Amino acid sequence: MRELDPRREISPDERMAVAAAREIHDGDVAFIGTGLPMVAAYLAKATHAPGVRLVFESGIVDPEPRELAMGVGDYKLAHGSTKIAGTAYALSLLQGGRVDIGFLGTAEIDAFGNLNSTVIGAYRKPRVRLPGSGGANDIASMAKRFVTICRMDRRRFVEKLQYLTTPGFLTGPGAREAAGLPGAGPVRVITDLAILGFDPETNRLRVEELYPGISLDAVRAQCGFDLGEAGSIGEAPVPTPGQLHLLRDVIDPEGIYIGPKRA
Amino acid sequence: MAQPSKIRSLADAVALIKDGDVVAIGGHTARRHPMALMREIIRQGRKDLHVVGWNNGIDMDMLVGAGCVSTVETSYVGIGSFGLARNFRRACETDGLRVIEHSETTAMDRFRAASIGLPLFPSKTGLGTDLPSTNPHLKPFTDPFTGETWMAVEAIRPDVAIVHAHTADEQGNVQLDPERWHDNSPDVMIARSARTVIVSVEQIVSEETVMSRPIDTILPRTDVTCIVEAPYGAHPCCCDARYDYDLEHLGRYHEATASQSGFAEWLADYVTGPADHWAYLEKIGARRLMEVSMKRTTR
Amino acid sequence: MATNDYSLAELLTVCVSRELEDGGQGFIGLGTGGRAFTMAVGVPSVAAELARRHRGIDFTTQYGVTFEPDLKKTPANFADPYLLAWPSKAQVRVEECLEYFRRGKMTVGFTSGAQIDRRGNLNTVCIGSHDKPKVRLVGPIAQSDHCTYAKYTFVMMVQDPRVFVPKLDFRSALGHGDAAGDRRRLGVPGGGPRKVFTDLAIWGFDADGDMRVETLHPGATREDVVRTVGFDVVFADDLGATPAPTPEELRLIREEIDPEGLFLEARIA
Repeated sequence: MRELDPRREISPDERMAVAAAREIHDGDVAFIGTGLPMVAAYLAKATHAPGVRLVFESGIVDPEPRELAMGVGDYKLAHGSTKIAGTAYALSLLQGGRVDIGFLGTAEIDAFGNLNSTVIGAYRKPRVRLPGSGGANDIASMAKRFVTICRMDRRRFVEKLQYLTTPGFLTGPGAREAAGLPGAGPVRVITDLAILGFDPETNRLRVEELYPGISLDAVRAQCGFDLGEAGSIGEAPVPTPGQLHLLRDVIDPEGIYIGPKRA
Repeated sequence: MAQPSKIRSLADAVALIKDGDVVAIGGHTARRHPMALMREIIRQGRKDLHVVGWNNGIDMDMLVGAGCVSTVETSYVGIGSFGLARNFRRACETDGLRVIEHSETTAMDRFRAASIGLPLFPSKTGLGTDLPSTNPHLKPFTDPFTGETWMAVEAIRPDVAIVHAHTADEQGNVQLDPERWHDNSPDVMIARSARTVIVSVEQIVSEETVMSRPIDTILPRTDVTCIVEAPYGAHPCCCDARYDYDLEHLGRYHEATASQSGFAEWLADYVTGPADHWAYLEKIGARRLMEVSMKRTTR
Repeated sequence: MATNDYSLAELLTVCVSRELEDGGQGFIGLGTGGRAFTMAVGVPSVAAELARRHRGIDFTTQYGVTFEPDLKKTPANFADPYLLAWPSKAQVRVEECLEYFRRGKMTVGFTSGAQIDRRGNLNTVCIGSHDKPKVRLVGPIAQSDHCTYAKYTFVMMVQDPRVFVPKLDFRSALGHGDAAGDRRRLGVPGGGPRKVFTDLAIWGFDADGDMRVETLHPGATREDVVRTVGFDVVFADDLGATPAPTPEELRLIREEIDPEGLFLEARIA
């Protein structure tokens, strides 16, 4: 193993990648998009979850790419895969309830973990028109559980979404079932400040783990809704030298998705 | 054999598209969109189109920016890692562009249903969200067998589908190379849902070539109205293993679309300026085309 | 005209060929052997090719998943390895091949059955009661798809009183139902049976969907038809003779399209 550069600080992206990797259990069928989830999935597979089955949105199953793909449609991703099946196949795994975990990003999130990637501002006259659902609603509706990864700030963590693109717990306990949605819904929200989960009684977001040097008040200050009473708060995982080596030297040596530039 | 040739010029094929048509677009994100056909749509000044896809980017953004579109129907419009689609943003934020919101499977299922002759397709996607309030083609219903709530996704019958593929013979049998994503099933559904089907291809090949590997035919000629030969017809999108994304060009596009005037210049440079697809390829240049081609695979 | 200078298969081929329309698409099943093969596969195959060559029409043949195979390179054995290597324009997925029916692209389905009634309804499920059949047959396969969705069907069968029956033991495919307008009332999109081609005659249907003999093959009599049919036979007012093949049609069949008799003499293993 090459000596890690001691001057290089651990970046928020690296912390989030390690936290996201932890959400993947060995043997899971994991539905993966581009960016941090791709890095996290490779990390999980290289460490605690060698049996994870990675399904990319473009229908690639279990690739062994030699270079990090620039997107899920990048042909580099196909190298060594056990199946090149197409997006319709990948989505059919979701529709058939066969995906254990999916990862999502978002422009807005509310206290019940509902997400907005459609508009900022009024729908008919938006301030910012965003790309739309993509496969996000499918993942949140149909995967057995899902994890949201995003930076934390008050414009993102909002009391009320301006458009509900993707269902978390909707209006709280029982609402997913009432709407007819399968799947347990959101289980974790991984941010640059803290790792959040959901209170099983109220289905509302709460802080579960803090990164070193970040106070609970600092997290509250970046959240636009009440995070409730914190119970026992743990310490978020600090990337180990082994994990950092994998991230920096093996998985993303060019720093495409995680790197000092992006810190 | 009395099988007619289905080959048409780019201009003649696009002339089949009328103002106000519902036009379904093949490919997804920045992959295998029929860009040569779409540039010709802009050259011919088509208006008031209702464009439909399942995951889109520069294709729809360019048509929207050029003023060809009144309604966008898809799950996603973005320029990949470069960020938001700026023409699309402007049109939504200032011009009130109508958007019919989907998630990926519901967008596909509209085509899927039509392509297999069904009036609707059942789904769980969209339940409990704002999608149905901004999409008249999603309606909850009760499963008559289990009493469960499902979402009905209404079939769509586009006036025209435009798709880009690798090869076709004169009669219109469309093939993809064996080295491909196998990601062709939505394109097949999109084509089979439409009344008129225009396919641009990298190359016209002989009937014998097609018949030597019939398993690579994605659309038999009975599914196809006409074929247009357009090498690098997906540029700057990628075309499976034939050529990669032209990230430099996509980046330049994204920068240009920061302002309406920047996009107008870009349009003049790359779309309305070049008289046809060949002039466009000359503008891009052999060197650049070879550079993206050389990145075929990492194998 | 009773001269026997052409075969029954050639006669039927020419008759079917003349019915095929420009721009049409026809679905031909694969699988049976012997005489049933000639009727169900051989005749439609050669007829489509004859229509292209002789009348210059554009007609798409679909053999299950295989589109427009090269008849000149027909394998002498229809086992899978040979079928797969048969040069053709497309081999689609099996569910796709039937979707051409469901979305209304199929002009004509070539079909058959173990029983047919005077309304063109078909049975391929059982002889005797369904719960305790005397003979259990193969089942409907895609026959119900043909009869539901195709613009029309051509039924190919050999006349026999046990086959042309007053009442089916089981209706596995809808013809013209029980009464005029039944298909429309049921919301069934296709047109149902248009012609029945047999070893003795060509049958059509009147406006109410009742079957009637339209032409008798050379050498066949009204009595032959009545004797081989289990229900009351109606003859068209303008009953005629099935028109004979022309020399040019016979030449094309024998010298160019099917010189080895693979299709019309069922020489395919």
